[in-house]
Amino acid sequence: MTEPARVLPELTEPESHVEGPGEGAGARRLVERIKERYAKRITGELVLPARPAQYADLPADLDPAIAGALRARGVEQLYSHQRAAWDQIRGGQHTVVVTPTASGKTLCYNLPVLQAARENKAKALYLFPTKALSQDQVAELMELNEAGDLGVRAYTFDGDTPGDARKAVRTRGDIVVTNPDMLHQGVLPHHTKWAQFFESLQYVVIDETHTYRGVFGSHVANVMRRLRRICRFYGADPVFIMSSATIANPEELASGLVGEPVTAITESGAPAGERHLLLWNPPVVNADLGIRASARSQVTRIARMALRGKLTTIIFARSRLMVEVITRYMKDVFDNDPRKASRVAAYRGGYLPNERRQTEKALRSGNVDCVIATSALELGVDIGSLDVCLLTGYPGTIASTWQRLGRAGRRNRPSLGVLVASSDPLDQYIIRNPEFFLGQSPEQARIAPDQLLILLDHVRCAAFELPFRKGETFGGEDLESLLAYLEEQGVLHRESDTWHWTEDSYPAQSVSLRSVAEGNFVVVDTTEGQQQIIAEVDFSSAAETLYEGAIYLVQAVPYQVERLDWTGRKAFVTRTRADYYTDAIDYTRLKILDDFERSPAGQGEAARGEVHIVRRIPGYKKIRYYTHENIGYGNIHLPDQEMHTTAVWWQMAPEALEQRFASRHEALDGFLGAAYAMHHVAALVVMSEPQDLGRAVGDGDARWFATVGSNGRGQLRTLDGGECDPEQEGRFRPAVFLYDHYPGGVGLSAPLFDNRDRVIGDALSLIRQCDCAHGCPGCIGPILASDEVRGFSPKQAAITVLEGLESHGAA
Amino acid sequence: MGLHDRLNTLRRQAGSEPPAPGRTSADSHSAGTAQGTGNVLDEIRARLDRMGVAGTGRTRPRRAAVESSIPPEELAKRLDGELLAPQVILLDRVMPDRHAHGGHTLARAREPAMPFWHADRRVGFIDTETTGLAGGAGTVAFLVGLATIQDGRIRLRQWLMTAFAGEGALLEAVDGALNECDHLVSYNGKTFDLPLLRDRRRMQRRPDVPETAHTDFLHPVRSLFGHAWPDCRLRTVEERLLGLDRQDDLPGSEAPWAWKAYLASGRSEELERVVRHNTDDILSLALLGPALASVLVQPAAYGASVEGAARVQERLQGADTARRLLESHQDRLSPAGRLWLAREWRREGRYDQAVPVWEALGEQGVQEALEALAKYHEHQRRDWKRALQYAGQLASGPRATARIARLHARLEATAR
Repeated sequence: MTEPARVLPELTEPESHVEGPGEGAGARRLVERIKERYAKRITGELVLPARPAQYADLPADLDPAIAGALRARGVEQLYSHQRAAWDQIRGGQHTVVVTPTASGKTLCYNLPVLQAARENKAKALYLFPTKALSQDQVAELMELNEAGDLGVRAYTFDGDTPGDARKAVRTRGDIVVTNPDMLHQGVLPHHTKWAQFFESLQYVVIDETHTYRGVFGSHVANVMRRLRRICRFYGADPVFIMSSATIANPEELASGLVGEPVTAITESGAPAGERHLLLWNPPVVNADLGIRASARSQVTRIARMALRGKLTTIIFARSRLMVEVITRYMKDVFDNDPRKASRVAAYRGGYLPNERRQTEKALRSGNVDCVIATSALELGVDIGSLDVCLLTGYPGTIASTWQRLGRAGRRNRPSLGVLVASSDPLDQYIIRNPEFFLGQSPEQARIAPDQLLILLDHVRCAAFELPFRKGETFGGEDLESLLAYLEEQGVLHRESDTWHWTEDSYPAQSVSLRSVAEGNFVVVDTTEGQQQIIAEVDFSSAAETLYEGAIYLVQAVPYQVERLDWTGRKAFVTRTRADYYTDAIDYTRLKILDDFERSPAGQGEAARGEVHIVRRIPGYKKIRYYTHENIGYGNIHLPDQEMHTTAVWWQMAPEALEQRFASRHEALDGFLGAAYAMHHVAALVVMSEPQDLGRAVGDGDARWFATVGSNGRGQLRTLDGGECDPEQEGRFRPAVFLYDHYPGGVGLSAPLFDNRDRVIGDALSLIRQCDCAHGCPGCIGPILASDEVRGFSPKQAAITVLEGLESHGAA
Repeated sequence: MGLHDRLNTLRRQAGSEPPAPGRTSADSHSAGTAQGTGNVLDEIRARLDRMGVAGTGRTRPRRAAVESSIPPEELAKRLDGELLAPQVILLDRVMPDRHAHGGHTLARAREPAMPFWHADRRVGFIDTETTGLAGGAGTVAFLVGLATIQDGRIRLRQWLMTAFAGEGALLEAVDGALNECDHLVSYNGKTFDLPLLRDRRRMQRRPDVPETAHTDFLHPVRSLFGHAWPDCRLRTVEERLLGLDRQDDLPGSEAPWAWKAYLASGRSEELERVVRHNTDDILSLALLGPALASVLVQPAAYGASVEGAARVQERLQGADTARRLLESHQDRLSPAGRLWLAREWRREGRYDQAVPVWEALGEQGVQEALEALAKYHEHQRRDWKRALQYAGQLASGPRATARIARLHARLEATAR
């Protein structure tokens, strides 16, 4: 997986000699050509100079057999961070190693683990977020093991491990490699079978720690609480070794996961070649609607240039479907001769493991020149070094962007990364504010392990694993109250000072660590009796896109949803020739229950508190293409979705509102547009996906809420969906709400409130810098009605709202 | 809102996600903040009932009933047992020979159970009742029953925990009794009861006990009757082999509920029924040895699979015994059984007996028979032509192709 420091003759030469005039200069030449031909599309550039390696000696106390294994693989010295990790870990400190892709992180944990296994038969548990990574790890360990004849046994333990092999893993494995889900459901509830393993457990390794954030991370932090509780039962107190991509708060995240202070190592001693990064905005093709050329078309263009320049290239796309499309376009150009071996490959989830292994191998050995991948290749699967990395759209976070860009330039030669923006607001914001991306420290990864529902789930699981005793602690809430609640529910039985599990059930079975991310819907095309999956839709947008009767577009091809299997997460569709599209009517109303904090915001106020949300999707409209006339309605039979959560909201003082807007209609459009922009920049600020946050515009008393009508204009509706006229309302205090899209909240609202001024400021600059005339999907959301019909520009209305909420002192 | 109310509200919302389509949403407007906390609790209770007390239709145990609960001493008296420790009741009985169990008396337990175990083994029949059937560290064995043969009669000991605190004492007593046995007999105990006891020892930080020989009747029953019976539960075995029809039996699956009811409210009727259920299970185990031994001798008479009986015999006594069993049931064998027998004959060089079996099966196109015949004619008879006739009927594949090519070569060599 990693490239351990190899002190080979040519690498000890000064860096300038590494790269001859021919070899390696290709990426630099490509940069020049792109800047020459497409100067207008480049909105930002960054050059990171080459960095020489910092070496340190192998530790004196390193087992000679392990040192021998390293030497056999060409490693005479360690990088400085590998040595620092060794010293810190051997000193018993929980450690998180935060260094770039391919800097030899693996060795940071493998060395102390192997040493301890040989010294005193200590055991280690490795946790990887995915199965593919686990298999890579075991292969890597085995190579080292064989090279030094170390006699250390590493096994994977996951859903694929056959029943008869499990006992051997439990009793004979020195290193057990698994994932958090398996630890949660398959190991901890059966810890008695793992007694020997836990008794000698000395190290817990958590790789790709930055992926454990949000709901998933909050669950995993609780799984770690349970793990440490079981370890204490067996008299073990393992040291945690973690690795993470670059995020702003690695120590905080790692400590939150482990529940104890963790020390970070952030200085990489690994060498890096010169790196170029270009930010590329596709040209505008329709200024009226603010439509730009697709990111896909731009990426394939750059990729063709790269391949013709004999530069190996990786292209990241945001969806599986997009991977297929780009692969097709690239193959049409480069793989059109069936007699030659193919040069272009796709890599994504959904492919069979064998197929993926083959592609990885072909990449390492240089038999493939171009790979098109989803985030499946973002995490540390070993694919060797590439010259060019192209990102089709902003991956959503800065950390993940750098992680992907790290795929190019693993060796000491120049490399190029190009981030090509899509027309999403997030992308447009990033691409027009290169300093945000280039200067900014990456995002904070946050978890909320004491989120009540998540905590309660894991208290149940923990009680099953070991009875709770009075005086024990588990998380930040009052444990005894939680136990009393479960006792009242009949789940636990209290006997003097101990709470015992008394349900005839296995609680871990019903708790999924990835409850939010897991519910993706698949769209199945049943045209002419076939059954083909053509798309995936995430849970939060399924209700408004996959209702029965909906027209679902794939690559502009219309399909009609015939049947929605909500529990099976499937939508069955058929091809159609409809000349209309459908638009769900979304009534989200929101009531403020309690406010925790308030603060003035310009001529208004921002606040954070608890809210109750009811979302109803009562029906949909059929809208004809081009004319946009409403040609019919359909009903949707989905139950209301209710949620208590936390939110941040902004309200403007009524006097300011009257002074700034000619009409309430105009103000309403302004609030809706501002909400759209704020929603997207807020997702950036709290390092979440846009769908982790919800947005709404309403009056905060749930008397009315605002929605965009079929004419593209804001409408006011009452609770039962009836339209009302804003001019007739006695009191008119619209508010923008951004809420945590998870029952009870997972801690997104607090950082959002802390960054309230930034959300307003960033939303303002997103809209102001947009090239469109009156608003577009890149800033305030799609608009239909033209400026003349309204008599005002919705884009300007949104700006007016944001200006009214802007705090000048703070910015 | 206090912690309690917050939890109720949140759980309800989490539970209603994802919502199922088609459900009426008329009632979901009552925002569960101030009003209706009682409704929410009822809803959660209903959900818990569904999970824990499936389909009993009984009212849930309530804390209020605790006053009427009976203390362990009283329960011990009712069960005719003694308090071994403050929270452990021991029932220790020597069962009279004349005690009827189904169509038999317990005297039958003295009959030989070969090939399952020798008469000189110190056999222990074991069965546990647990707080859950899911397994895992949260499952506790609250009742352990062990029967041994003492002076030719069945001595049944049952240890019953009346509180979780009694587990250590229970395990200590059970392990002491297990030490007296050198052969255990159970029904599904290899996968369930014994691993569970091992897990419980670890939870109580007790040393493991050495593994003993173990006969788990589930496996021979599956081999013998798996093809013929709707299921292989102990209830079914008892009905069909011992003629036992349990009246008023509390199914084992309800044992967790009975224990929970006792813990929560002190009501003991169900727990007493669990003890009776466990008694019946163990007495059945004691009688099943001789019963299954008879089936092995005459499988056909009991509607058992002859091949299954041969498999059991092969495992316990070796291939010869299995062959003799097959020989004595030649006319009742399935094609697979006949092939097996022919294989055994070939191994002993008895081709005169094996070949007719193969020929009969070969006419029906049975591949293994055709292959055996091809081999026989090639290697024993060195009759390439006949061998080729059989080889030609084999399904195409690399092995068949190689054989045919080799036979052709041999034929040509002979012709030259």
